[in-house]
Amino acid sequence: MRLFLILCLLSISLHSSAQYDLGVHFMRGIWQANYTNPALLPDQRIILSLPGVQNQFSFENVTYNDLVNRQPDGSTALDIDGVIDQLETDNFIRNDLDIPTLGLALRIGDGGLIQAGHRLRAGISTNISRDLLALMWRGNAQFIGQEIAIGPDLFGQAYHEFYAGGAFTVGDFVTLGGRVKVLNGIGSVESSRTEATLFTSDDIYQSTITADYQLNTTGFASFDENSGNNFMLQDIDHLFTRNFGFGIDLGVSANLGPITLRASVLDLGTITWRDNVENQAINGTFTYEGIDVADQPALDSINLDNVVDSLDAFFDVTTTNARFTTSLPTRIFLSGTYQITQGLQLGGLLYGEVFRDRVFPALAVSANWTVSPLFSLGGVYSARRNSYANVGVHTALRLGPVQLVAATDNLLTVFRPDDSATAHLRLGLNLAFGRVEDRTKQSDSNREEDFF
Amino acid sequence: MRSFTTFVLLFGLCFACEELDQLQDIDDINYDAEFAIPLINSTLSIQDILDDADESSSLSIDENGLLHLIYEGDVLTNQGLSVLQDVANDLPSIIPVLSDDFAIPFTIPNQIDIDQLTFSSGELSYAVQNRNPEPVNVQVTLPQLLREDTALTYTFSLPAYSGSGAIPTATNQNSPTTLSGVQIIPQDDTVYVKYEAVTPDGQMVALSNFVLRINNPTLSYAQGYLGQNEYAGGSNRVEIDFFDQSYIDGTVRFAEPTVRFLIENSFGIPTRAVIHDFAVTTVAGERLPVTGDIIDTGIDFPFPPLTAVGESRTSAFTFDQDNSNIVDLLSSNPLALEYDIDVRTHPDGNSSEKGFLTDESSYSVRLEVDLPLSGQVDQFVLRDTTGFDLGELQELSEAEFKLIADNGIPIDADVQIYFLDEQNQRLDSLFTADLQRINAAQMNADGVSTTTVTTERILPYPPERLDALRQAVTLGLQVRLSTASSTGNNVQIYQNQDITIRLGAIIRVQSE
Repeated sequence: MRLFLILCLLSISLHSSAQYDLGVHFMRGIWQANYTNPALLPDQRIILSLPGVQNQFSFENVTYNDLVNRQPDGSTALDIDGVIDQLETDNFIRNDLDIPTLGLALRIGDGGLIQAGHRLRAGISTNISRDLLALMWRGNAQFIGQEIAIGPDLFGQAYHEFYAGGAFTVGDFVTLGGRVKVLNGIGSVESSRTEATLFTSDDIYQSTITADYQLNTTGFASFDENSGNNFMLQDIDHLFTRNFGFGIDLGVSANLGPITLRASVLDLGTITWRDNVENQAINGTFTYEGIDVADQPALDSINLDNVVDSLDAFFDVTTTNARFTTSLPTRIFLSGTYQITQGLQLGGLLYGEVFRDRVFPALAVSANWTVSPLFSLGGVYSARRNSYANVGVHTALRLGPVQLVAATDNLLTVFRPDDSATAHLRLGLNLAFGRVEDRTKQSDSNREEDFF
Repeated sequence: MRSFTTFVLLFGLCFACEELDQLQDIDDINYDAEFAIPLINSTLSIQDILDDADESSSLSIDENGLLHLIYEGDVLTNQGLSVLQDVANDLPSIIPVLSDDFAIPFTIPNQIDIDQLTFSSGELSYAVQNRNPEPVNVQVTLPQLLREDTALTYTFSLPAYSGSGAIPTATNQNSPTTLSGVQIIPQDDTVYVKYEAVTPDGQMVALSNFVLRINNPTLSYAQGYLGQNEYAGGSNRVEIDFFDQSYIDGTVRFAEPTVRFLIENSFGIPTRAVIHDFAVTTVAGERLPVTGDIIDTGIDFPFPPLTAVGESRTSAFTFDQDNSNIVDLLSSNPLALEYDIDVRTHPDGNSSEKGFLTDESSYSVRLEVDLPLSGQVDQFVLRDTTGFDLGELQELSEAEFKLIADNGIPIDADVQIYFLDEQNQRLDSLFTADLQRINAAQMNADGVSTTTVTTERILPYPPERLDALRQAVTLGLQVRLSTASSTGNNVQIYQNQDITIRLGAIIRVQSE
């Protein structure tokens, strides 16, 4: 209990860790595991899921300590140069928020389940190339004679998810599950085309920008040309909009005695954005060669701001209002567990996420220990691209019908947050009634039901 | 619910950004950036350069493509209308008719001998009294005043005079005869007025107090000897700005400069430009008179003969090295040409030379200085200034300029840029050396450029000199031109020659 509370508090204060809910996936009989595979059944007949939260933040390749240096005199200094040296070609900064507000699941018979509920989900990310940040911070002189990519990828969307689904067991071993989701978009920002390069000539440094860049916004963000081409956060005027979409989750679980094999595909779907849509596009090749004084006979004064003005004049942004469609980040879980003893389970997981036309894989191994009917504890090690030191913990506390769930995929964040590039936390609260015994046990003995 | 939604979204963002909030407490932000910026990229034809440097001139291109700087002086003009008005003003306004066949000598002051006049406007009226005891019928004829080849006549009756009271009077002063289109063709320099006053019984009688009045006459044509008149053109000046504001030192020698008088004349009488003063002023403050026979004799205008009324004749007179010292004078860095020229009609006073004027006759005399851009330049130094503001780049800590010049003009240019303060005092210069050479284009034996020559200079501007840039409010550009590479030959400046100047900079900006 003390460990649980400490974990919760530290997780909240330090944002916790864990990549992509990997630890939760291995939590036995806990409703939140069903979020990672709709074929995973809870241990109770009736589950009422109360509001919880899951958030994960990551800044690839960069930690707070990379960004901020403490000086010998105790002061702190921003070290962008150090950050740039650590960056890869692609560097995602990303935050995903999942707030399950209310859900209800009912076990039907021995192997069936129906469920329905609502979640509020939001995610925002940007992919900043090393060259772009280096250009912004160190200037373009380092790229004389080179062409560099400067188009940042930006993606963000917030939406309501209303879901309904079910699961059923085929034969004695295989359970199939699925969820159908109606999505209602709140707001979105998306760079649908991100081609943009800058070439700095080695002659007199003429700059050529070749761009095919489009940014779609709706709802909470727009591109304001009048304020110097900056993004402006807008009020969210309507809770529900005409921005509808659909999605599905599919899962399967095979129970082979002490071994279980699982597979799931989550968030296959799209949202089409129609309300207050703006599409800002830059297309073409723009070359700035310097001021042509021959074309400016009235140029009676040289003000170097004129050069900056001329550079600004490069960008001829065209605005349209065409609806656009965004895809949900699709996640794939392939896992297996081995029940060593009644209380101890080992697991392995191959994870992949398809996001912004890239695949983000992860590998995880887990150990879960059911300490008592009231308390379980687990640990997970995960490795992902450029990050191999992620150790997370997850725990569940059962107090009668009340289930408290806490999980993080990166415990290092708790102890050394300034050295962590990621942070993850899931907190959940369920009311669960009518315990269902394990089917394998049931086959070996008379069914024994315990309401709690 | 809306607030809730907004809250949770912000919660999510804050959740991720709490550490980012700590960035606000960072004490130092140290940046050190270098930006490579193209500043100037201009191709300047010689025409662009000269247009900017000298707004008072125009450029012309001869058949070989050689450029000429053309400066034009004020135009001397006169209209025939004003001369005709002088003649009209000399016409008598009231003419007493003293007999029934009265001869009026048609003489006009200033020795004007008119063979024919045509009115364009004016009025003719008469007044006459009958003191006879019988009524009379009257016919007045003016045989030398013709409207469409028909003499002007008046016919009217006057009642008998009783011997007391008002004398019967006839007049058309309330509806006078318009003179527009009426010609006067004197007969032996005389204009006659004839009348017949006949009583009812056929007797010819005399009339009393007969007068003719001409009001507000204007003429559209005059023919004859129109007198010797001089029309003042006044003092004029042609500025040659090429050597004015920007000139500092050195010489330019034009190969074949000329000054032309371009004359266009439709006066049908002998006319001459009389040159009272013609001189060149130089940058050295000298005033050098133009000499040559033509200065004394003047320049006669061509004029149309009596058979070509309404036509004009043109001619040009050129001052060149064969008839004057103008070449030497224009090779002395001239600032201006000053002249005082009048125009004299019938300059020889020969009254037998008959001519004509119409109200549309005119003459104009235009003075044109032609400086062909062929010649030599010796250390010719120009200077110009322009405002300067470093703008948002005040934080720059170091700079390096890169200058590339592709010169297609066969003139070497030594260039320096000075940074000046508000008192125009020199703070620093762009080049540490005196001036930087932009090499002339390669040229052939005729001084015609054949190959563009590229000059490239890297110009570091270290931190310790940047204060001068920050304080500067004026840029001073000094250019020293020379044709030394032509080894004594004249160089030719053609329309298709140009120079491309490209200037870029790498500027370093550091946090303090």
